[in-house]
Formats: sequence, C-alpha cells, structure tokens
Amino acid sequence: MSRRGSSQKQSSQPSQRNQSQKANSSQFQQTAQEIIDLDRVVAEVIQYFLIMEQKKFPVKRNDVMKLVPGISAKNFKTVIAQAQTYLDDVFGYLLHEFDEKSGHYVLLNQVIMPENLPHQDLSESNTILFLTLSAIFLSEGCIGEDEVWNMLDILGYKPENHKKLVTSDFVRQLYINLEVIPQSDPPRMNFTWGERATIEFTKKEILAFAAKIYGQPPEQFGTLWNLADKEDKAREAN
Amino acid sequence: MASDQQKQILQYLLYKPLVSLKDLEKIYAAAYERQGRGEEIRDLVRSLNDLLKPAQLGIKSRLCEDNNEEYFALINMIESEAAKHTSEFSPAEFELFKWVLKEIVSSESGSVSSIDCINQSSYIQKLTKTDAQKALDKFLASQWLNEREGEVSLTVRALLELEPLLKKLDEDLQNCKICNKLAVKKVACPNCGAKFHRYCISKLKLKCPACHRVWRSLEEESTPSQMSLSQTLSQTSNPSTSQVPNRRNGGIRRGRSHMESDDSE
Repeated sequence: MSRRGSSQKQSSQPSQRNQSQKANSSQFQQTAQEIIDLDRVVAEVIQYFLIMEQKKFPVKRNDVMKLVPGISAKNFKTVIAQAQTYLDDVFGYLLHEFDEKSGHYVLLNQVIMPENLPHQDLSESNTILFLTLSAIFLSEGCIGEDEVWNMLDILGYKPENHKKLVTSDFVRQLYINLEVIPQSDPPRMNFTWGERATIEFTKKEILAFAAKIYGQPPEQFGTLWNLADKEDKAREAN
Repeated sequence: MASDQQKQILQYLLYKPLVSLKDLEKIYAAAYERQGRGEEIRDLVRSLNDLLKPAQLGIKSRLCEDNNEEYFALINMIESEAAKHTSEFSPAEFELFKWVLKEIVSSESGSVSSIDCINQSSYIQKLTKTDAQKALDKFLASQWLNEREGEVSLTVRALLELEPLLKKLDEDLQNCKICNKLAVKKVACPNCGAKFHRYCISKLKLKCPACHRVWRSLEEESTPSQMSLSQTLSQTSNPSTSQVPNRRNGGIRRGRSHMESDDSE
C-alpha cells in the first residue's frame, strides 16, 4: 500500500499509477510547504514582539498561540528560538522570558542609542516611572500609595491625571506590582517593583536618579547604596 | 548580522517609521558620526531591507503628494494577523480612522477638514467629541495622517502601507498615469478624465499623455470653491512646509502653470 504522509494538507486523490512515487513527492512538497510556512510564522511572531515592545507590554505565550496563524505546540520552541536569534542579530533586542510555566516575554534593549537619536518618548511617563521606582527603592522595596501620590503632587504631577498610568499601565507593563493592604478600609495599596523593572533597571541607575532629585551623592544613601553595589557585583560575577 | 549603527537606525525607525530624505541623512549622521556621502544613504536603505526581509518588513519610499519630496517609511509587507489584533486604536477610534480615510480618498483634494472629523463622532458609538480629538491626535502622532491649516490628509506612510485598504474604500481610486503611484491628491484631464498628480502633469508641461490635449492651466477643471489651501500649497516650488505662499487668488490663468516659470520654451 502506498504511504501517505501525515499531511494536514491532503490534496485530491493521487492517480493509481505511481501512487508511491506521488506519495513521496507530496510528502516532499508538504515538508517544503511546512518550511515555507514556518518562515512566515516566524515573521509574524517577530512583528508581534516588535509591536508589543513599542507599547512596552509583555507578550504572553497564550496570546502568541492564539494570534499567530500557523503556530502550534509542535513548532513553538523552534519559532521562538528563530525569532529570538533574529531580534538580537538585527535589532539588538534580547528576548527575555519570565516564568517558564505561564510564559511571558519582554524585549530588552542591548543597543546604546546615540544621544541625538531618540528612540522612545522620553516623556512625562518615563519621568513618573523613575520617580515611582525611586520612591519604592528608597522605602526599602515597598511603599504605600498615598506617599507616592504625595510625592508626585509635590513635584507637580497631579495624582488624578496620572493614577491610571501608575496603577494600570505600569502594572500591565510589569514595572510595578500592586498589593492591597489587608484589612485596609477604604482599601489602600502598596507598590513594589515589578519583574520588568528588576530586569531592565539596575538599582544603581535608580539610585543615581534619586540622588539627582535629592541633591545628594548616591554613596551617601547608606544601606541602599550597599544594596545597589552588591547587585552590581553579583551581575558582574555572572 | 546587523552592525551597531544599523541596529540603532532600525530601532529609531520602529519608533518613527516615516522619515524624509533629510531626516534620513540626519539619522545616518547620528549613527555613523559623519555625513553620509552620495550613494551611502541608498546603500543603507538597501542593506536594511536585506536585514528586514525575514521579518517581512521593508523600507519603501515615494514622493509626497504635497511637496514632491522623497519620504521613506518602514512598512509591513504582509497583512499580519497579529498586527491586526494589537492595533493601537480602539474599535471606535478605528471606525473614525476608516471614515477619515474614505473621505480623503473620495475627495479630489485628498483631504478632509479636521472639524468634520471631530463632528463625525456623533455618528460613532462610544466616541465623544473629546475622544475624537484624542483619536485624531493619535493618528497624527503615529504618522498616518498630516494636518495643515485645518485640513487632514494622508502621509506617505499611509500611502505606502495602506494602499490595499484605500483601494477597497474607494473603487475609483487610481494610480497617476504618469508616475504610476497611487494618486490621492489628484487632478483630472478635462478632456479624457485621466488622473494625475499636479507635479507629474506639470512636468509634462500640462500635456495629457493619454489624449495628448494640452490643458490651459491646472485650474481648468476646478471652480474657485474647490481651490483648497492644500492645492495652493502644493503649487509652490519651495519645499519648506513652514511657508504659506501669498498666491493671488486669481482663478483661471492662461499659459503655463506657476511651476513652469523656470523652464524655457
């Protein structure tokens, strides 16, 4: 009996004559088609990562499985690996995966952009992000929301205008974590650093920013400086 | 494998996909720390396109319909499924966007007033006037649309990347018969109706290549009320967009158009 490969794309019945030859060539065609389609799948995944990176939203494995046509559990690892290589080779983005189980990814920029070539909106949101992260860091990793709103208010950022940015966008972008303080009434929240902040910024960077705000050299921040220094050394060791 | 400079430039283009030739020269200079000589800019675009192929992205260029300058845009070469789902616009905003596109391509001037865009919110659910203003700002910031003197028109990015969608929105939309690029801001031959860009037909000294009739002037088919500011602006030979020419509102003129004053005949 002739072999018919496990083809998903069964064409019409092959003729009686040379059925085995036809089956072999259709298998070859099917493999060739799978390879061509794979390139397309990789392209779509690359584009999806790039678009999400512009918004700084993490990419969830489930969304990739849902939204990219042609992707399957079978080819997922290959596709992601190819996309990862490409993103690094061509754009200088490192694809970083959080949490092997649920799987979400962000792109980390490895390229130092020249100062006169801006590549993102160095706007208000970035400043507010750094201010919030500094405040959390200076509070030894956890700070109540009211203190953050106060700080922003003093610096001219009205809380009503920026609440959504901080509690929704930054959380979605994994820069900040929110925790409801148990038994608080009305419910209040604590902020801590999110996984993306931990990956993307060093404590030294944030400390340097805070130092500028307070007009005090980073070394004078006591335990916080020690923490930042330790982190640096640990990174170098890796 | 891209060089550091190429990576820098590509990252910049992800952020600002539409750049003029002058912008591109500045970008080159920022990355390579020197001015690009002669063909180096073109070579850069070619090498970037080779790098972009596996991602089905590409840098395409064409002339702007307003000032005839060359613009480059990083565009999607496929109708990406994932891209559709991650649209930067909400459904209501997208509905407004499509309406604006349709109005632009069905008009001769290739533009629609921003006031009309805002007022269109009355016909779109879940879109207030404020939302519409915000949406319009988004369209401008993401370089799909231009606004000048209250008139909204398409950028080169839109012309390059949205062509299939534009053609669907208006079946009559054609390419300019001279340069063969999509003509959204167009003029029609008064004799045979063939559509051209003003710059293209001016270069041919107003002689229609289809029916060979020589037009008396570019204004022949337009009534004074149709003379929108964008048409006036596109006739200036000065590419600077900050200048508004003091054109005499003279209507029909005989002889060569304003553009031809440098040519001898």
